[in-house]
Amino acid sequence: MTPAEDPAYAERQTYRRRRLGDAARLLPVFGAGLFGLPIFWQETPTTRALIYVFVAWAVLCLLSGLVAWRLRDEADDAPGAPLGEAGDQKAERRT
Amino acid sequence: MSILNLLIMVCLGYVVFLFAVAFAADRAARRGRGAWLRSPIVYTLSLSIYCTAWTFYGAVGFAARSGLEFVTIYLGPTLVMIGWWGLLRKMVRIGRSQRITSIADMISSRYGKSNLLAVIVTLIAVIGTTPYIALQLQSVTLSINAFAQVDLPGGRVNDTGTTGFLIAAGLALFTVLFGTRNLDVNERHHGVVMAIAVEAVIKLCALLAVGVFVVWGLGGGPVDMLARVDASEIARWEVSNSRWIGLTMLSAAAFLCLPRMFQVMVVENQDESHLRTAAWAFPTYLMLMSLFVIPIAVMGLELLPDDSNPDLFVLTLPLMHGQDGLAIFSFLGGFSSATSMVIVAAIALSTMVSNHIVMPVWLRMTGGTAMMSGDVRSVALLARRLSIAAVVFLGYLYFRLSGGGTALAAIGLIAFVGVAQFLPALVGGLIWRGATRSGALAGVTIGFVTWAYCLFLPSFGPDVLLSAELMQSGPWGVGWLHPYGLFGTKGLDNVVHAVLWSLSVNLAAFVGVSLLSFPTPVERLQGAQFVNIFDHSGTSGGWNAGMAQSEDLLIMAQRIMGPDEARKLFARSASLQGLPGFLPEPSPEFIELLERELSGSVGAATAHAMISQIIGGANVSVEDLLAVADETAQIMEYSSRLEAKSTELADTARQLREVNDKLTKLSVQKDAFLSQISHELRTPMTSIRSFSEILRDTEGLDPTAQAKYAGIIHDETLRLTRLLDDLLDLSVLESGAVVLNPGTARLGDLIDRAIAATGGLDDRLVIQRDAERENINVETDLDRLVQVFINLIANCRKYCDAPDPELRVKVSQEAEMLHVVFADNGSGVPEDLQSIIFEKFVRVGETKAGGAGLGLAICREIMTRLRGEIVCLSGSEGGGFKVSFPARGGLRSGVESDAS
Repeated sequence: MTPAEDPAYAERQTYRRRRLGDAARLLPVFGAGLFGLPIFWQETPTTRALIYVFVAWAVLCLLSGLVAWRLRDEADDAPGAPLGEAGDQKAERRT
Repeated sequence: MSILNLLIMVCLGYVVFLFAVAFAADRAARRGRGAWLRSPIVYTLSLSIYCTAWTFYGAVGFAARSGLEFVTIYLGPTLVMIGWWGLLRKMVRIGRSQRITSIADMISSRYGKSNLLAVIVTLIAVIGTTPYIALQLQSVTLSINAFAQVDLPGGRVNDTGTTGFLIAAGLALFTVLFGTRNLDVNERHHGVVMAIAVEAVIKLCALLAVGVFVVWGLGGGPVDMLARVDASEIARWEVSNSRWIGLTMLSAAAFLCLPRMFQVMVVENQDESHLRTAAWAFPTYLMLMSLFVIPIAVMGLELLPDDSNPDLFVLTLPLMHGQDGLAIFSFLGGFSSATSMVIVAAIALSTMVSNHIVMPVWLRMTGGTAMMSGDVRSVALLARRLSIAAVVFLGYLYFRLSGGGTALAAIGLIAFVGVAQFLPALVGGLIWRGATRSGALAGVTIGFVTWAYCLFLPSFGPDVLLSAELMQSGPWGVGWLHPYGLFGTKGLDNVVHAVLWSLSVNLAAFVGVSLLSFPTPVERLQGAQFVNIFDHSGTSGGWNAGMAQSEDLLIMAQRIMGPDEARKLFARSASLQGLPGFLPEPSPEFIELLERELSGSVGAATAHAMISQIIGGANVSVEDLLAVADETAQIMEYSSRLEAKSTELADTARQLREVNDKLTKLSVQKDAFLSQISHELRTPMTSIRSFSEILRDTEGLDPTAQAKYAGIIHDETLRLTRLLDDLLDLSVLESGAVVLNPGTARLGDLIDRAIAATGGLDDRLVIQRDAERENINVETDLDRLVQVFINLIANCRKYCDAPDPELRVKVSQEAEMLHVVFADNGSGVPEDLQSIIFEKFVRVGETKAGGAGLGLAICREIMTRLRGEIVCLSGSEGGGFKVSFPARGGLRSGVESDAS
């Protein structure tokens, strides 16, 4: 994006959307942290680890679904329109 | 009817069902009624080919051996999937905009459409996938054996080879039928995808059904089940940290790099937004797939005999408890997992093999042009069909030769590490523009070699491919090169060790060689397009297709895409260009479009090569552009030179204009002078004539009057003589024929003489002098110098317009040169006249003082002869002239002047 198309102060909705994109990118890092936690456990029964892993898994699925759902809008307005940055620009122009 | 026969009946029925599903989906799609085929759920389900028979059966075996560790195989893909916004979205966008047909095509496209790279990636993919296909065949035969054992305890299906062969043949048939329906890989295989989606549902339901049976039917509910887990062999949490992290990373890498995953995730993707659904749905699918794995493993360990194969617990648990229906359902789940994997892997590999190996070889063998006789399209399709058969047969061969390993999971992991070698080149190419073809080649090759040495070759056991001695103590007894302990890292798990070393050296070579090498223009262009795909979903390198023949292109396109498709594409392009008929102009845009369309059928590298053969420019399009850029630079240089020249011309023109102005002024002055001089001559002539007539004709004129009239005639004659003398003097000076008479005198005396000659010290003009400074001897033509002084002083008397005229005579000496300044307090010479004041016949003002305008011209000529100069001063203190001449020896005779 050229600076002209990327103003320092984006409109609030666009700003939200970009931060949501950041969240989507960071989600796997968060997930790696969750799944990496059990390596520090010692003398833990398998059942506890089992329950922990599946609960963490379910939470990640939920979060991912939430983020994906919030990232929906533009693509639905214009079928075939690319997601993401291009969509951002469109939103800016429209408002 | 025995259960084995029942199983075979059900199995055949299931296969017929799958064929029907695929057929129906294909037909619906062709008739345009297949909107539901393009739903995100179908896309998500098709991703489930990640879960092969290895995960269906093997996960339970894995869990029975090492507890919860099996889950890492699913955690990696989960992390990749929930991070779709960052990486997968980019891959899918690139795959769609560049019409990527396989992972080899992707990597080759990124690195300048290099076919060598594509060939290497294809070979590694084949080597990594063949054992995996063998694994699927093995799992199916093993599961059939499990049923046979129920019928005849201790018995086996007599000929595992035949079973395996029949399955392989059936799969190859299915894949050829539904996987090569159209040549363009980007045109979705609706039938195949639909069949895979159905199989995904079946395998999930089968595993869940077995799980529910185990937990509620055998284990007595979830709470009891957890208690049983705590009481079992795998109750203690004993996960090796390096394996936990290493396997998670490995599975994530493999999820991105496996050819079959790339096929369903990128190539078969219908719509980028499907990823949004898959982002949560696929991790959920994986979670459900692994939910009951631990309970099944625990119950299997508890209830089944010690010698039973843990890989088959999913099947044997229901069988042992008389749940034949559930067992058959479970078998169908495993069968589905195996078949869907083989089908997609065969499609993906055959695309790579035919596009990157068979087609280039065939093109070269048939003369290297796309204009030869024969139908490229049918050749490509045949190549792909043969490739499918070959790939499946290779898998079967591997299965027969390996004799069936005991642990299914082991070979799965080995294959994972093999394909993970694509990761640095693939992901690096997407995020780093500096990645080069040489870097990718070096990384992939060295990673592959390390993998083969550290994991693949040793996996066959001692003395099969590697000698027992080498496996025991390293090559030539060098322990540091031991396959399982490079450089003293022997404590690590084999797989983690191989992942660590192969990916490290791969990455290091990739980055290092990329940094050192220089990419070709095509590579740089493709790199920019891949990395910045979201900024401009633009196109790849432009074609300079001035000489391309549309007809030749059409003939070639027809052979690849089929006549109807090609003609439609050409006609559409022609109408877009506003042309009648069906042949568009071969504009760069059109050629680019055509290349992209063709690359959907035969891969980017081959399409690029074929188009370049017709266009004749080979792949120099970018170099052409650069050459054009060079030309532009030259033109710019030339134009700047022109600009300099035109400035010069403008300068000259300005000078010419100035000279012209001067000439015009002179001409006006001369005209004015001529009328003046005729007047000057006429006035004395008139009075001379009148008075001489009076003297001649008047009788009795008294002597007083006679003397008076004669005196007037004499005066007028003198005046005429003076004027003529001046003119003569000037012409003599100008012609250089003047003779100078050198002499020595004091400068002050010369000025005294000049003042006296101009009328002495009359009361009007005040002359200021500095006697001290004038006390200098000069050696020059004294009379001529005095003549100049007289002229200047006389001018001052005539023209100084101040009420109290005042003349300052200042003398100064600078080295050999003497400067004498005559400055008055009048208004000086007008500025517009300064440039011509020394010309002949120029006078300031009109006839006020009655001079002929020759004085200053004579002065200038004299000063030039005396090797000096006279200049006009225009200071703030009135006008004046400066006379400069050498104090000694400043003579230039006429002879000298002529000689010089």
